[in-house]
Amino acid sequence: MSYKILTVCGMGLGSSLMAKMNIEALAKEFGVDARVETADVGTAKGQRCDLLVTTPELARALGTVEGKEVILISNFIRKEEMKEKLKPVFERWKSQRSN
Amino acid sequence: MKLCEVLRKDHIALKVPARDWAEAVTEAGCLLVRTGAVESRYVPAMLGVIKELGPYVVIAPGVAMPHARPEDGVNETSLGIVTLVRPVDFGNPANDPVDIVIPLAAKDHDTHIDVLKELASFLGNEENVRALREARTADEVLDLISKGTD
Repeated sequence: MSYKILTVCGMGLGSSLMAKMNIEALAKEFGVDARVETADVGTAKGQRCDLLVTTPELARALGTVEGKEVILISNFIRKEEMKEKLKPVFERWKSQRSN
Repeated sequence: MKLCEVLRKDHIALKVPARDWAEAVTEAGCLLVRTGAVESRYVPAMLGVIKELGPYVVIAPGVAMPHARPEDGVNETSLGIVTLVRPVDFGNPANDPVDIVIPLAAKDHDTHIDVLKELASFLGNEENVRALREARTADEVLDLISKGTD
């Protein structure tokens, strides 16, 4: 079973798509088996996922997302911020897998 | 689909004056309207998205990528580049002020994925962003992009 990551932006076709590309590259780099899907704010609410990635602005529009781990990103262009925030999650997933 | 195919020369406007974020987004959107890439209703749709959901379209420091939905009047997948004379605030504390506005129109949810990939790799290089801010002609911008996305 692979982990499911949901990237969320307003329309599901701009920043969420940029985030998806970066996260897929990072998952590969960390050797994590993750499926990354994009969604808009409306459709994201009802979806199941292991991790949700969005912006601080949209987190407010999304409201509280129950039972989901959420990472907030401000810079969708440079990979550094995303890597810094995803690293602990990916490392935890990997250690859970190997136990 | 490649970035240079969707970024037409007449979708580039440099050193544009804008008093606030709404004027900046309107100027950027009108470039796409003038070439027929989007219907005129696409512009108020772009503004509406920001009013409704907040300034999340500011995707990196200084860079906004306003867009609406494919069904808001997109005729062809397209993209523009606008640089502003003076930066404006969008209300995004992490990334304000903005002086590069990239209007995006997508015909569907995934055919523009390679375009965004190229754009992200271009803007991910600070040298490129600096040169873009200083560019005086559309040809200079096209040249920068063809070099910066090899």
